Parts: sequence; structure tokens; C-alpha cells
Amino acid sequence: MEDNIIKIRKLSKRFGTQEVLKELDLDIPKGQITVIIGRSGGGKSVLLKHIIGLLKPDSGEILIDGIDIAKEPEDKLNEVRKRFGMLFQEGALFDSMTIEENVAFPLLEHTNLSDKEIEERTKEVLAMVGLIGAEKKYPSEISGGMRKRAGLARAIIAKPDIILFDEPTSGLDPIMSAHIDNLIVDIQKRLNVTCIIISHDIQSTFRIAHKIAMLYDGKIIAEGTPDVMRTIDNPYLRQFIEGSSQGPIQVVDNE
Amino acid sequence: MNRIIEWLGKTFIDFLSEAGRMLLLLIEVVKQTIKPPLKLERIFIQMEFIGVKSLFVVILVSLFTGMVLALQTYTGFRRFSAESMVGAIVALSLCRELGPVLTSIMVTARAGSAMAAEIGTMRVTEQIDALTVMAVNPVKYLIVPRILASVLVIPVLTIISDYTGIVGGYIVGVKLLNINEGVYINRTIDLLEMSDIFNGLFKSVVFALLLSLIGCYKGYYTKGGARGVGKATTEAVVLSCVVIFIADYILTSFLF
Repeated sequence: MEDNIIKIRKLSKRFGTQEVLKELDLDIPKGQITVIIGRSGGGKSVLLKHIIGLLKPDSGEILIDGIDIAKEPEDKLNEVRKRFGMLFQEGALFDSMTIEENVAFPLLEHTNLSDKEIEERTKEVLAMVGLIGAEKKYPSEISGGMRKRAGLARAIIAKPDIILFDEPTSGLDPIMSAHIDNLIVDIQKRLNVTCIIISHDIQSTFRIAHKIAMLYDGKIIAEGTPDVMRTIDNPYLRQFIEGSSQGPIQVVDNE
Repeated sequence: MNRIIEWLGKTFIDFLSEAGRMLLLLIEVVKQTIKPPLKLERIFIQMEFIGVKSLFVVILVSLFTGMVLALQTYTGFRRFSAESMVGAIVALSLCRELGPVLTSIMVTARAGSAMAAEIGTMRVTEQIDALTVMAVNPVKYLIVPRILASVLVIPVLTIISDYTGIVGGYIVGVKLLNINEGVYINRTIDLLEMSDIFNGLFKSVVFALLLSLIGCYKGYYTKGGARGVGKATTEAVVLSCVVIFIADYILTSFLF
């Protein structure tokens, strides 16, 4: 991997007595799709929230182009955040606004573009995710898949360098999942952005990833390209990929 | 015995940490208010919701409070032939006490609860995280407009409440109980001072700050889904009401 846009070093985080991340190391290559897989409740979301500074680590570094965001004050952190877009699991659209207003929100807040320019740009990204016609609807009036696409449109409208996805395909039917996967691949290519996806959808992971990293017990236990990951002989990874209830990962110990 | 001490200690620590977090939130609110830009549009939207839409219920409650107050004082004062004082008592009680308290309680029920529920729902559906991720400070975006709007609009509601209550008292005292109109009005004007009204308005500003801060605080720190939102809303209303009554006593005894 040539050039890593994000470097995570010895990241640790505990909530009360529960150690969620234990000196985790991970590199995210620039301009590629990295998928982090792992069990539900295994700390994937916690990891993602550290990358965008929603959570502060107990120790360790998160370097984004060399800037350690764990130590930056709020103002500087916000400058770094403007380089990110994020798609939340349930979309996290503002339910008091229409789809159009939701998508335009980052531009309204952070740019001085004219209303006309904002409108054009909004149309453009809504077209990219296939949501033309739903502009005036409220989030509660559209389906889960549409909400995710609207969330994606909002995440990309301000032309970020890095897009984070929190389980983009969870709760969707297989066809919509495949559609979202295609959208992610398409947008990644078109905008040449770095994508970080957390997921436990193995099928979709192998379909879209350039790099896969498996998080287990607070650490990255295996990482590599999909081809490499298929051959690694790690019993935890094998069990997860094969989706078996038999193996070293016990169902009871985690929940 | 140990259990009791443990419980007392825990309750005390919980209380302190909650008060501390609320204070920190208030400090953050002040910081974010001073920091430009201040978007007036958001404040106006909240003023409409908190103020204009509470107007009807405030008027209704104040009118009947003024009416019953006149009725009750009349019953008592007649026993020593002091009916002429009814108007002054109604006006004093309303301006010094009932106007600000009733208005704040009604706004708590209507708008304080809505603040907790709305912000709480945004918290549990990750909308607040979404704001943060988009580099928009959620305190500035959500809480500052609500608190500023409350502090601006609740004193205005209080003036309206005072006025309506006095009108209610007048209707009952003069029109129904046949107290002499001139005496009723003159006594009121003689005994009611501007300072009574201003003290009441000062109280209403304090109550406004408290109820909006508590509503926003409870919403902002909501945890755990729909149930969490319900809990936050209930707690916001109960805590606001209790704090308003306590603050009312403290303000009355120390300041006026």
C-alpha cells in the first residue's frame, strides 16, 4: 500500500470496566475502500467514532495526514472534520427538514455559495444517488434504503476527501444492499475519495473492498486485500467469513 | 446502616455531578453565544414556538387565576370589611408571584418538555453526532437559540399574564361581586408599585434560563432509545417545576 491517509497507533479505549479497544494499530490507504469487519458490539463503531473525533481515546494516536486529531482543540478538529463525510447507520437525517434541506445542510453551514449554486449542487448529488423526485419529502416519509441514499448524498455534497460508512447495508434487502455497494464503488471512483466502511456483511465486503481489516477483541487480528484475506489461516477470521457458530468466537462471551 | 450511607453518598454524588454538568453546559452556552456568527433566524423560530404558541394557554390560566384570586380574597376580606383591598391584593400577588411562576410552569409544560423530547430524539437517532461530524457545534445550533429565545420571550409572556390576571380579578371583583369600581381601581394603582412588576419580571428571566437550560440539558444527555427520551422529558418537566419553586422562594426572600 503506497500512501496512508490515516494512521492509527496504539489506540485504547475503555468504557467503565470494559476494554473496547486495546492498543489497536491500523493504516487506511488513500483513495481506496477499506472495510473493517467484526462482530456487532465488538467496537467497530467505537473505532469509527474515534476517527472522526466523536470520541476521545484514553491513549494512542489517530493521525490524519499527520495531524493527531486526539490532541487537537475543537476549532482545529472542526477544520479536519470538514474533510470528512459520514453516512450513519440509520441515516441520521434531520427529521425536521426535507431531504433537499438535509442534503444542502453542509453547504448552507460552511460555504457562501448562492442559493442557486446550492440548489444545483444538491440536484447533482441527489441524481448521483438516484433520489430525484423525493426532494420535498421528509425522512419519515421514505424507506430505509432511500434514507441511506439521502444520507450518502449529504455525506458527499461538500466534496470530502474521506467518507465513513457505518454499516451501509444493514437492514436492507439484498438488492438494495447490492445497489448501495455499487453506489459506494461508483462514488469512490468518481470522486477519488478514501472510504472507510464498517460492516458485518461478508458478501458485500468482498464485493467492494480494496482492503479488509478484521477487528476482534479490541485489536486488528488480520488485514489485507480480499484475496489475501481469503487465504489467511486465522481461525477467528475463518469462522467469521464462513459465518459459523462453531469455532473460537463464542456467542455468549460478547453480549 | 452501611447501605443507607452508601445510598446517601451515591445520591449526593449523582446530584453534584449532574449540577456540575449542567453548569458546564451553561458555560458552553455562554461561550457559543458570544462566538459569532449568531443566527437570528433560529432564535426567531424558537421565540415563535416558545412564546407565541404558549400565548393562549398562558392567557387562559392567568385569567382564571386572577378570577379565583378575587373570589377567594373577597370571601376572606369581607369578614373584616376590607373588600376594597381585593383589587390591590390580586394585582400584587399576580405581579410579584403568580404571573412569573404560572407563566414559567406553563412554558415548561409546553416548551420545556418539547425541548427535552426533540433534542433527546436527535441524540438517540445520532442526529447530534451528525451535526458534530459536519463540523456544526450542536450546542450553538440547538441549545443557544432555545435558551436565548426563552429568556427574551418569557418576560413578555409574564407581562401579558399579569395584565390578563388583573383583568380577570376586575371582572369578578367589580362586575360579579359589585365592589365599587373606582375604589377597586384606585386601591390597585395606589398599592402596586413599579418595583413589584420589575421584580416579577426579573424572576421570570431567571425561571426562563432555568427551565430552558434544564430542558436542553436533559435532552442533550439522553441515553437509550424511545424510553430514554420519555424519561428525559419527564425528568425535565419535574426538575424544572421543582427548581422554579425553589428559586422563587430564594429570590423572594433574598432579593425583594
